[in-house]
Amino acid sequence: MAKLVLKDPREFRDIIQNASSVVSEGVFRISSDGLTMKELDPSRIAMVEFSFPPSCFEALDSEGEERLGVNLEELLNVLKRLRPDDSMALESDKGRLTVSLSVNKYTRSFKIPLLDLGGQETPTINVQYTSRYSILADGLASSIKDAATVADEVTFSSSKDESLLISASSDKGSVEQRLTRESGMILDAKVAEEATAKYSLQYLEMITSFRGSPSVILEFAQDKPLHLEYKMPDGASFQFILAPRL
Amino acid sequence: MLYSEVASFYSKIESTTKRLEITSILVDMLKRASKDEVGPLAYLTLGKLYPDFVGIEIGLGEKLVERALAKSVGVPLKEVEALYKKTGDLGLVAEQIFKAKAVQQLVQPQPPTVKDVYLTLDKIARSAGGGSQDEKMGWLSGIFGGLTPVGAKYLVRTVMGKLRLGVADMTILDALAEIYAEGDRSIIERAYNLTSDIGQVAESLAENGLEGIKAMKPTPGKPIRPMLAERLQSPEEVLAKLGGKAALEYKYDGERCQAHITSGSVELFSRRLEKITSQFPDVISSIAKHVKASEAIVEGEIVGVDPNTGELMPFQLLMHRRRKYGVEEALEEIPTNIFLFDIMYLNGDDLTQVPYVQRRKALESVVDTSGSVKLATRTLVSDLSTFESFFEEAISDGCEGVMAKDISDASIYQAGARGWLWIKYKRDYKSELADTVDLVIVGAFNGRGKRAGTYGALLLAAYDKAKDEFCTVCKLGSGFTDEELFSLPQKLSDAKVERKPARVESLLQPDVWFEPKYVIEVKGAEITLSPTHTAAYGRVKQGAGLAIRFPRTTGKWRTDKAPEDATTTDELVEMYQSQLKKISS
Repeated sequence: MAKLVLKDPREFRDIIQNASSVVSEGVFRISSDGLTMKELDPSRIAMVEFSFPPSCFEALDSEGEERLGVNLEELLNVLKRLRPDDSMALESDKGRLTVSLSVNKYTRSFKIPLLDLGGQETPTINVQYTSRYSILADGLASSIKDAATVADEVTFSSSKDESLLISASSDKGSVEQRLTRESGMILDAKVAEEATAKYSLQYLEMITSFRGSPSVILEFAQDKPLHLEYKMPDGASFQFILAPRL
Repeated sequence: MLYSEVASFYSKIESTTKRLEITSILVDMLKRASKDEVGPLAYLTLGKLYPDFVGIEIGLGEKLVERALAKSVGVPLKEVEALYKKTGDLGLVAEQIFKAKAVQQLVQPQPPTVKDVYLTLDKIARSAGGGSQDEKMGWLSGIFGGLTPVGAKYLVRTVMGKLRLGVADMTILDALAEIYAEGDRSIIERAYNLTSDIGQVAESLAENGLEGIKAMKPTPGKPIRPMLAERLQSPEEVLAKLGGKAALEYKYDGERCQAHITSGSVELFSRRLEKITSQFPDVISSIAKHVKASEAIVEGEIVGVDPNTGELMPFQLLMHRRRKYGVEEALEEIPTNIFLFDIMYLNGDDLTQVPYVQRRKALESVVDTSGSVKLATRTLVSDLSTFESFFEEAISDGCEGVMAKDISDASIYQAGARGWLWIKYKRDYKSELADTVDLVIVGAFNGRGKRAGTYGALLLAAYDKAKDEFCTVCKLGSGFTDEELFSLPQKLSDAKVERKPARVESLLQPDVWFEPKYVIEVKGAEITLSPTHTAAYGRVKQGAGLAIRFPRTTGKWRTDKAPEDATTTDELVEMYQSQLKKISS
């Protein structure tokens, strides 16, 4: 039995929404270190991971580590009922997750069944990223939307001058944009080796629309997976890894 | 054994049309499988998960498969849909997109084994109805990962119920025989014929070898593949083939089925081994009541019976009972009898190896024929004239012909085989009755059940000009509306007489006689020879008159016609002869 009271319920909702665009269910691990989830999508092309450290909670009670199998879509449906002033508590008991939304002394409690998702550990993806950028989240989102208007995949090319070329093309047309420090889009960059890699836009459009933090860390290497990480001021983080197209 | 490995064997099978080659590929494949994989592999290769009689098919919808493919390969659903439109074969689509799989996976999935695939498909098939589509799609996309393109192609075809490798049960039996019996199929085939379950046969061969399946017996709940009859064109040939004497049974025009009785329950299987239990609740309950055995497998023919005339109904009408909904209503409209003709298993004993004469005795000893469970009408013949008259009776009683059975000690039940122990003899010709006839009402039978209080059937006659007599041709019980039916006693009351009128010639004894007065229009299926009706008696054939088979009224009363203006027996003879048509097949 675990009980958590979140400081920022809307941040939690946004992260669940983003994760549920990739996987429909996942295992919440709850301990005194907070709440985390790490899941591969069924096609093993993408992985999502989020974590809420203790700093994200008003209250955090758990006995050792608890694992809760959660249907993210159902949880999201409940979270969509969140009103601006609601506070939120999560409580697990007897195979159910209770989500209590309260304002003043008025509480609504939703109960959703927990799933038995087996005990398989999600593997860790080890990649030597050779290019690392810190980018304005809005800027990346907009570049990805541009790419999606002409193609279903996008190419990232890093260069020694620390700019990032984002391009896409198909028989419908092509688009190209170079993000630079000068334009203010790139906040920080570290390019050990120039690299080019191509990724499907299927998940990227949804993922990059995330507005939880103003900037995003983007890492990749030549024909290697792409890694995105959003870090929230309260310590919460959301990560996404996507396999390349060759 | 990995499923992708199986798929490459499937590829080889598809590339040849030579049966021997197919068998040898199957041999190689089955040899590669472990003991507990042989059974599942046998089903999968036939594009199935279970024997047919279980009645569960995989058959996933194309939308679901498209989604699972898109999800597991990581391509947009639209792309999958477009490719499907182009190729028309989702199996090929799967192969293509797996080949072109441009996306790398973050983690290499475990390639699924035959067992993984079988167990997943089993889970999907059994969750039919329950279990959400998303859940099924998730299970399916879970095994897609780790497949080769060819593996994906065959898995897609399998889940859609479209594997079609051209491998039949018998091809698999051949392969099993090659592996386990030095090519001699007989013992393996016998086990298969008794259980109709290729997976079970394969599995028990793998587990216990040939000795294990020698001991296999019929099992209530698993249909036996039916014994089939050869066919001959004349009674002479039939008798000659059977050594001059035979048992003749009516060959009913109904639905052949097996009833499997176990303590407290009865299941019915069709000739094609499908479960038809739910369509015949009446047959189930009467078998439970009238077959006195704790465990048995009996075989018979379900036939629709007109409750009023007691006559058998044509097969087409019985087929209305083959339905999922409205079974109760149909049950009232088309009540049935089951005519049992064989017994293959009784209280633990396999009777398939026991001669026919003893099986029939065993059958007679367990059936109480007081209800709607009957024994097939049967006689022993050793001369042509008895044969022929039994045959005529069968036809006029609404049967297709007769089944002649060997009565020697060699006459075992050859499950799944067509042989000369049983020989069917059917009519070559039938006269189709295109026109309506006008017939005279000369008698009536009291109604029962729903028709209590009125007449259940009328006895109708044609006019014999030469003799100035009215000779019977049929019992009429169909075609009336309820209103007409209940007004019959009133309507006919002025013609009612105490005894048979002198000008009426009848071998049947109705409950009520009528003076020939009323003429009614009737349509029938055909004119047949009949020993029970008197029209044109002895004119076409000695000892037989003419009868109208499956008569129903058009509802038209020919008040414009005097009884002497009704259809004459001469006309019937003419119609019979001119309309004789060779029965095709």
